[in-house]
Amino acid sequence: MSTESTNFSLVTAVLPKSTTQVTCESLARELGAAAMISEARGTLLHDQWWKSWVPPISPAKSYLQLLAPDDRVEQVEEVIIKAARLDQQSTGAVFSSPCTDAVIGDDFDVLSSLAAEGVPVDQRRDQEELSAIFCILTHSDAERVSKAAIRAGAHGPVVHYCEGKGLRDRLGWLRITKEHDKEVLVVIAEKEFADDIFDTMSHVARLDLPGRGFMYRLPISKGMYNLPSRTSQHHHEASLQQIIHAIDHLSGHNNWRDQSVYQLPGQGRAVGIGNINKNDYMHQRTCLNLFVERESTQKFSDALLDAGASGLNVHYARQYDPQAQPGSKFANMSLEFAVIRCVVEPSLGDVLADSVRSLTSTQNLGNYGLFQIFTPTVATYVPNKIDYRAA
Amino acid sequence: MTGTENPRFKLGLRDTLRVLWPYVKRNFLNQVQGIWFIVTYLVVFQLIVLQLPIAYALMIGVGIIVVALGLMFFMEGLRLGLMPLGEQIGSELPKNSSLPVILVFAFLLGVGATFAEPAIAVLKSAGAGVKASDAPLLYSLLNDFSSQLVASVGIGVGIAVALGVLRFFYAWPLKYLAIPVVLSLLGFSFYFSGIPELSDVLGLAWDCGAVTTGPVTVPLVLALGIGVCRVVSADGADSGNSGFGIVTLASLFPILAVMSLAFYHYQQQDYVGAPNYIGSQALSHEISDEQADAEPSRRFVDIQPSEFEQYLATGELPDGYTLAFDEGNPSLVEGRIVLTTPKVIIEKTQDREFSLFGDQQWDSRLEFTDGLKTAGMDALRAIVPLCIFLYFVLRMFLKRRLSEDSDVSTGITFALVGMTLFGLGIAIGLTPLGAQLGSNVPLAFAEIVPFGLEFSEGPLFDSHTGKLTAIGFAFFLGYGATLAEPALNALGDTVERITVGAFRKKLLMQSVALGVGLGIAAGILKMAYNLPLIGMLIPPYLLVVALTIIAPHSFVNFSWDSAGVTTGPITVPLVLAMGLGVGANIPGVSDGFGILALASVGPILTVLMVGLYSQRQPQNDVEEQSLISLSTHEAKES
Repeated sequence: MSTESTNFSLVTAVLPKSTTQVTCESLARELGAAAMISEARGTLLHDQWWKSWVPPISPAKSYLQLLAPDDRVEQVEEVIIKAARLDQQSTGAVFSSPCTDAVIGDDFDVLSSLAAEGVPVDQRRDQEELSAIFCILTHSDAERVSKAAIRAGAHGPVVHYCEGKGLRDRLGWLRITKEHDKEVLVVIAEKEFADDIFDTMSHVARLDLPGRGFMYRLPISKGMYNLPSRTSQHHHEASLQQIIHAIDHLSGHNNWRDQSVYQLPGQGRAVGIGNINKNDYMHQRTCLNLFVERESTQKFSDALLDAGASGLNVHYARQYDPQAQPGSKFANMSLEFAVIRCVVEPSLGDVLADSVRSLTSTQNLGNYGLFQIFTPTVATYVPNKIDYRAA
Repeated sequence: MTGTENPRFKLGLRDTLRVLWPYVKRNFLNQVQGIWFIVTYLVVFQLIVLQLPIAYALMIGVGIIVVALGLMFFMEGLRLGLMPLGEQIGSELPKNSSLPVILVFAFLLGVGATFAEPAIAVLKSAGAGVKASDAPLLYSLLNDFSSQLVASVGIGVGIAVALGVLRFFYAWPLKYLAIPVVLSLLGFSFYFSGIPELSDVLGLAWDCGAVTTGPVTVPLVLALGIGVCRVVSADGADSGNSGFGIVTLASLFPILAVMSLAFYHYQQQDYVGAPNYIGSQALSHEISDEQADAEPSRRFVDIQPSEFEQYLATGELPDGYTLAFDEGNPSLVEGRIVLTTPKVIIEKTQDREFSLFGDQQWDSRLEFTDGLKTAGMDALRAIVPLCIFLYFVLRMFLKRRLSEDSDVSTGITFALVGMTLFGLGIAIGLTPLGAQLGSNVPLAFAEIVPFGLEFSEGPLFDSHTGKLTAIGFAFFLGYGATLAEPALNALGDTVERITVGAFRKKLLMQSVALGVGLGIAAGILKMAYNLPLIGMLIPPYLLVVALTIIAPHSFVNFSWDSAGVTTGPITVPLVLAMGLGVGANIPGVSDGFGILALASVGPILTVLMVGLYSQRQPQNDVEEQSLISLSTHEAKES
């Protein structure tokens, strides 16, 4: 029914929308791989007040996800970089995260490790030492947090929508009160900046309060990014990253960075150490990912919630696969998938994985991919953290 | 894992309300945000510029709250019920059926949607002042051939939806479909404008395009398109942004259909007054009827005998009098004009105290229950048959069920409740407000009897300033009414969702509203100076075509679609009331046609311009980015 392996990686790519088709075609042609495509947008800020009359139309991006064996990750990234021309400025990003554990259904189309022997790899392009930050928020908060992230030195976050599942789905008819689309902000940062960006975002989003959102980091084994943050007429203005580097260089150390500027709720700013106690972050979690056919989303998410997941986020993707149906009625029919994701404790992660496996074997479902990625840090509201009645 | 249920929480009343309250509040405030501008604007204009009291203030106040409530339910109903249903069918159809079947379904959906939201009532009210003697063919189309008119509009929409769906399968860019259609429409219009009978019909034809797409049709058709495009990923320049474009075609094809119908009847010569006419309408009777309603305008009040006696006794004139000289023999005496034996007439003018509200708080002719019943029936007719049709297709044809947890039925109930309340609110709130304002606006340049008052008042400004005031008023009226339009709100939400927030709803709404405002102002300009419609239509459409050619494909889709949704249940009554009011005071203007057509060119222009403007911006960031990557490289090396 399925194969298990620990040697898989999740390759994620952010592309300009116009190159999606080309990229998918060359992935299929050179590697025989089919990626999950969903829609995303970049974030751009105007740097002049008078431009704010017309809000920026953010660049349309595509968000590609693809499971690949560890030894083929470089080839996949190479093909994507070439096809989408990610070496050009302000185009996109590609990165891979190693899976600790992966279960692949028999019908699931995954890149075989035999493919792509011939694709040469240009080693210079990839940056090591990156980290990916995922932050799930409501619409109203997303813009504010994006701005804060940019101020903290990040590129303009890439945003895709997801549907939250969990609490309100269990309220019967009251589930209509659920806000359907949540925004997932994806930020890729060098490790040395990632902590600052993570702190700033969790502080500005007030993730220590209930119902605000959820943020986690995934490790990146290999990747590169090339994303802009704002539209600017000032071609020679130094970026925040450059300034930080300069101060590092002048002071000879980077301890000064603990004294960051924080955006307080409202209009204020404060200098100092952020008031989120870093001990409040949860560490050593696992991010459980599940690719399933869109029709069976409900089944799987129910199973996961029953097995103890506190909440899920679901987004939908289509799989472009020109070789799948050469003789089908219409030129390009795509398969629809759902990407279900939740971040839980490692022990619970295994329980959830078991529940998915038993569901697939009883229902005879073969078209799924289940994998876990180690998650070093998570920030969200944790119930019972403070017991008000006791205090 | 057999028979496990999701653990459901049972909430008490108190907790239920606590969950529900933020949700209700959020949605209600969203709607208030949409309608506050138009309401405030209308009230302020009436009170401050025209200095007239508001009649039926209580009824209007209640009506506006009901509108907001209705919109709240309706928009939630769309989100939960109608749009998911349409999207599901759209995504299932390509998997399970062949192309001809899909096209037949699309055609039927288009025809059904037209009958569900009949535009003919709107068109009839716009043509209320049409006289058979002035525009015989137009008159015949609206009266003798009205069922043919509806049928041809329906067929036009049906073909458009089918073609729009076909477009997704072959990834034809909308540009290459819309531009030829528009150019041929313009060509026909130009030809029509040369023939008097046919040129009368032009306004009707172009307006048909604007009014066919209502608040139920648009979201359904959008959802259908999005569903189809989820599965059919056509490659080509247009890919991914599709799902849009059906609305555009659905507002262009009816124009063509109505023009063809008019041309057919022109060829057959079977309209009123033509040789082959077989209808029952007698031409002469019609004329005498129209002449009868010249209403006596009374500017002066009678001076009572008691007042006269008081004048004789004390020499004191009554308050508010005018003095007029008549007759007499003028002669020049020592550098002065001297009138000998003139007749001096003293008249008392109507003296009105300014008040905020009129005497009547509630229009006695309007029964609340009757209004509710009419609105309910309209809502049922607009929603239920379509939903039954869709459900039938889903269940029988695609052999799918709605999932147990699906909120579709809740959503459809919401949509029904919402549409009923919305219709009621419009009938008792917005329409009376818009109608009294619309009929009062000509006060700016003409002497009329203001709504709810008994005596005529003179022009507030001179002719040109007055007309300009009316045009300026029309701009903000169009702007405000558009922001409240439910179909546009649904389109805005959809655009934002499909582009993952890249194209903000607010930006789309504002640019569309601006465009509609400009269009309606142009429409009133046309009426106020009795300009030919063809001269007003061709230049902006040519500009639109030019912009369309250079604009990126995604903006073409949004902007043309937004043109189709602009004229809905809020805009139309307000604009028509005003158009007819203005038209009635301009000699030679018989109908209110053409304003809506102009109101749908405006938004295409503005959205395309906004698209072009912001499209050239992101290129500036390239250099800065190269600096960043430089710096990171340096950092690594050091």
